[in-house]
Amino acid sequence: MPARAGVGFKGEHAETVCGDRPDVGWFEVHPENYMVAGGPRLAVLEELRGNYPLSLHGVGLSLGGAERLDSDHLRAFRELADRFEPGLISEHIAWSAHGGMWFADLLPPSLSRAGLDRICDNIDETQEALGRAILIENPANYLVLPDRDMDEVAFIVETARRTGCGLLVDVNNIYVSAENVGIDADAYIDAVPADLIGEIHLAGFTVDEHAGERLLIDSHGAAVDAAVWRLYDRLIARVGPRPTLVEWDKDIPDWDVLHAEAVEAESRLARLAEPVPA
Amino acid sequence: MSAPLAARQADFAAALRDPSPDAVPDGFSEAAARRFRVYRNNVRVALIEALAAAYPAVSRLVGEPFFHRMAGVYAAEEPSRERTLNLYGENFADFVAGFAPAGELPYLADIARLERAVLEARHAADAPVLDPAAAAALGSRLASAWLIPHPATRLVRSEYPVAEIWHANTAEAPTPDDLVLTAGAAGALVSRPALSVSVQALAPGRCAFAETLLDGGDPAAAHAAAASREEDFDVIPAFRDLLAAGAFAGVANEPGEGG
Repeated sequence: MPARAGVGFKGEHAETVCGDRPDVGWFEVHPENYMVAGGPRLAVLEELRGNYPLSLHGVGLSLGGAERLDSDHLRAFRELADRFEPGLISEHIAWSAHGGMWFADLLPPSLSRAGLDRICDNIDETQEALGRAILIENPANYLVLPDRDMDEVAFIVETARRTGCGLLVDVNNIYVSAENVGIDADAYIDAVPADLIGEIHLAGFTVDEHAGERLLIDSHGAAVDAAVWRLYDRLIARVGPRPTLVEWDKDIPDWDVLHAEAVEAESRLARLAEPVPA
Repeated sequence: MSAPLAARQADFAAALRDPSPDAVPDGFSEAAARRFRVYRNNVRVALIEALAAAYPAVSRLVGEPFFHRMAGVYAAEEPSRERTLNLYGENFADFVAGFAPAGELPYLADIARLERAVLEARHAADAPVLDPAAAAALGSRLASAWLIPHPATRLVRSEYPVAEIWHANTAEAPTPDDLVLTAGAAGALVSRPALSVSVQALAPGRCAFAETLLDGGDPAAAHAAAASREEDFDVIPAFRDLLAAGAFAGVANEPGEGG
């Protein structure tokens, strides 16, 4: 995957992207949205893949879940990976399924010893099924679970070292988490080992005021915040350029607005870091 | 050690689905308990938004606030059992039929059934469409041929003019100048001739004709079924329109083959 800016692909932009073929480094999609038998969605993805590198970013494996992986889902994931040959495959350390139900949300993983063992087993199984290494993403935190044994950076780094997976650093999630649960965002950014980072995510958050409490929500429904750009600059200045995704999934703007965010990320990649060999 | 982890997540999951908005997982601090609402809300909204995307005409007919309340009741009863929401809402039409506050719109559940058929058609397997010329080339053998339904083809029976109501209430379709309600409407044909889904009203004869063919009857039997519903049923244009809609994927040598 080129160390360029990519864009989260939305069906709303299909006509523009497939018709005009804008200069974008790559696109990313949630494989779950393409787990259908056939029809227009898969046809559009075929066309997209014909013109751009692709990243599959899963939201349904529930790697942070206490349960074993769902073998049907893993098989469907594998089929998409075989068909579309993505340059990157990533998932979350969150969990999203339990007891046969899928919650369509990224629920907080247990940063406990037991949680670490469980997620490592789940990642081993995923990487074996896919025949390749994946990247795992840090979540947006709204609360601290009572069973925690270590901080999140230690958890993801040890998970990566044990399983051989890489890290997808979501800078917006680090900022949102820092504001919501009081971690030090700069320290987090500085602590992630450069050799593990395979991808970076940028997105916008929204501010939620409820009962006098201010909370940042990882809504993917706004432009990237200035504070998140600052953290991004800090990260790439240290680790060098990495494939960087701009995500915008709610209140989706016109293509030009989203594309401008990717152009901004790319200009920072070009400005801040010397090119390094892939 | 994994048993306590499983128990903690089970408890978290139960609190997410608890009807009481004050439910929180055991052992949470006061601060964590306050924040738990974010997850509760995300989980609920994800299901409601999936339904809103799949049932735009139902939403437009009842209005968005009503739809969100109705979808919220359904979502509370029906968690997703799949790791995607692409086809979430399998029983939504039945739920709408039994949802008393929507009782003023007796056709609403049939519109929901039609929108479910549209959703299924959109995501159905790809298959070639039977070329009308290939069907015509069969000549007299066509009358006793077995036609393989295209995987996307659905027939929705209703005593209401569901296709017209749907067309008038979806953004994709232009609103007709006059909503002409077909007297004695019988149903709607949903098909995917290219990559976009098409919905057509079917008069009683054409509905019986299509239904017989899609159930595996041959064209002669379908003609007979249609003629029993409409005295002056004209089989040629009915067949032509059905083929043009891409309702079939091919011709089988045996009944039920490939269908």
